[in-house]
Amino acid sequence: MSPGARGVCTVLLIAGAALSVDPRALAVAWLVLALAAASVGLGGVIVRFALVFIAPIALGALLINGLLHAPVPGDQWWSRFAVAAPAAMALSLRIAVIAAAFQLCFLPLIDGGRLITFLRTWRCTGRALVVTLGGVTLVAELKLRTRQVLESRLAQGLGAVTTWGALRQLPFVLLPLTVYMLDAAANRSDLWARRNLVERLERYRPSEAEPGFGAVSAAALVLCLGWLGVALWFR
Amino acid sequence: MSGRAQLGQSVTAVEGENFSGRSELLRLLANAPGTSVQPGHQADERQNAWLGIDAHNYLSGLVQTVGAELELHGIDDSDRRASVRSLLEPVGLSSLLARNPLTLSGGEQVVLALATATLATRDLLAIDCALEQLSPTVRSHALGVLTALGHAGVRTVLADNRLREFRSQVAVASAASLGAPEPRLRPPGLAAARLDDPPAAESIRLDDVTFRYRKGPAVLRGVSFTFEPGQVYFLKGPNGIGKSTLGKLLCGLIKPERGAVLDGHGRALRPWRSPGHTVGYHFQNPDLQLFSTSVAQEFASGGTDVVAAFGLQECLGAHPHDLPFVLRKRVAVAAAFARRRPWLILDEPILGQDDRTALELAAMLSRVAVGACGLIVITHSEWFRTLVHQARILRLTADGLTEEHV
Repeated sequence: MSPGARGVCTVLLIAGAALSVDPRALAVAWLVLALAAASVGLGGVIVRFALVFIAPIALGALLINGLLHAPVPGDQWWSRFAVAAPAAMALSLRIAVIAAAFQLCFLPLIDGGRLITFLRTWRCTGRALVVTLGGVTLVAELKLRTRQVLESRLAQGLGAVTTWGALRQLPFVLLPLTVYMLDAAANRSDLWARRNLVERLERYRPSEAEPGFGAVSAAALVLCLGWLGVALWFR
Repeated sequence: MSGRAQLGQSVTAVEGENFSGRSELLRLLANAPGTSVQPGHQADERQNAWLGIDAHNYLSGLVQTVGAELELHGIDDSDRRASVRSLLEPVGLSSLLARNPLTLSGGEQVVLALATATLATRDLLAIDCALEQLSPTVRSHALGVLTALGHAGVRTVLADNRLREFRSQVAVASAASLGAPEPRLRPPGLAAARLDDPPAAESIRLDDVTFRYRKGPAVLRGVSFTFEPGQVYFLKGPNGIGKSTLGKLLCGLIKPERGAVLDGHGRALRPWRSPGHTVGYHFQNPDLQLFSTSVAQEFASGGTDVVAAFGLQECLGAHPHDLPFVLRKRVAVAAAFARRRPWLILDEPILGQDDRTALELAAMLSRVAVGACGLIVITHSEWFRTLVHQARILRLTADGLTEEHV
């Protein structure tokens, strides 16, 4: 997909999700996005994200809307569940669709190293480009270093392999992680300056070219416009 | 800088112990961070490159593949292309251009950082102990490439504690003769004391173990070996072959895809259920293994004997991250000993340590192995292996793990 079409599709998908209030439409949209992601090997990421982040949000929204927010004094608990459930589902699915749209549109760029071309197409250049690329790498690096610190704790018998065990290690992880990231930031900024990497980045043209506007881009745009139409129709 | 005139035309190694001012000298020569840049030296600054022991910090962090990193540093429009390709070849990096630099092994990251540094420099390349993480073959090859670069006008000056086997490839100069700053006060060395015994170790048997990282090729294939207690095993092998992965597997940080980890009686050990309890693991990078705000707190749960044996009494009040790399590494190794696990794996324990400290550590490992615990040391230093009494040498290759009988 061309960088331009990719950006427009992302905006249309997010706009549709933000406008839609119908959980059924949102569920179908998420399913279509998950299938599209599966076709490019990202199905697992989207499903995992939904299970780890969206499912607890859905449960929380259901409890808040069903128990705390919707009932008026004197009402019985769960008396307005029929109203609360769709509202909670719409909220959770909206977040799920927006997240899936981001993941489907941007993860292939990051993994394939084509993010620079995409950002340039959307006029992100100079320092903004450096900051964006540095930020993207930072997220991946932070994840890796966190895992390494946790592994170091485990390797010395100082933790447990469960999720709760990992959470309990958080206070011990913060110190080495903070020191490490500050040190890396100072080193990197010096490296960028000494090696003219900011200027080099301006001139750098990745060897892996982004495709031009073709049938795939056109089809994706039509689908995303259709989704926006559906979202508006069901409001 | 007056010392620059005395540098050789290609590769010059700066001789000196830890705290002799070698690193400061290198920083000054390359106008590296932490040095005050003199007026008029700004132009030079961008002609020079500096590569520290923490090689991952010398990658741009702006692109997500090895190929893009090289392209960004200018491999396509440079006369260095052949040199860089030659550097990458022995570790197989030229076939890993699509890999994320973050996922490379320690040695592979050093080679990539070295390749980008050679692309960046036009005058002087200063390397502070980074090459110690390379296997002897790769290291010798890298020194050859740097020598060849010398003919193109790029001089290399390096500090390296394990140059013993490569002295014929470099010119050697003392730190003092090159105008190094005043040496700093050297902290006490390791004492010839015996550590309190950890719980007795049992044998660990790897039975046809295979492991692969997600979506990747098999790192370990059909590895079978029995580790006996009361021994010091030295594990060697090329960069990126899976030495650290094997350590993680023994420690229980990863689970084998196939095969089993058994105890001396043939019972399944399943170390991944409680990692680090039977086998402790000290990683190569100390910075991710220091968790407290003072050195004393690192030993809060015991280890007075370890503190004394490692000569750390004087820095007990210091913040571990305020210490120089040499001492951070020593504190991290000592902390691993203080946990008193029956088995302990030390990954490059002499990284950045001079010969005197390495000798003291070798003597300590020989004493520890007299007890009932077991030690596995991962190192590229042939010399260090000869220092430990009755050490057993294991070689990890793509075909498996075999013992070398010396």
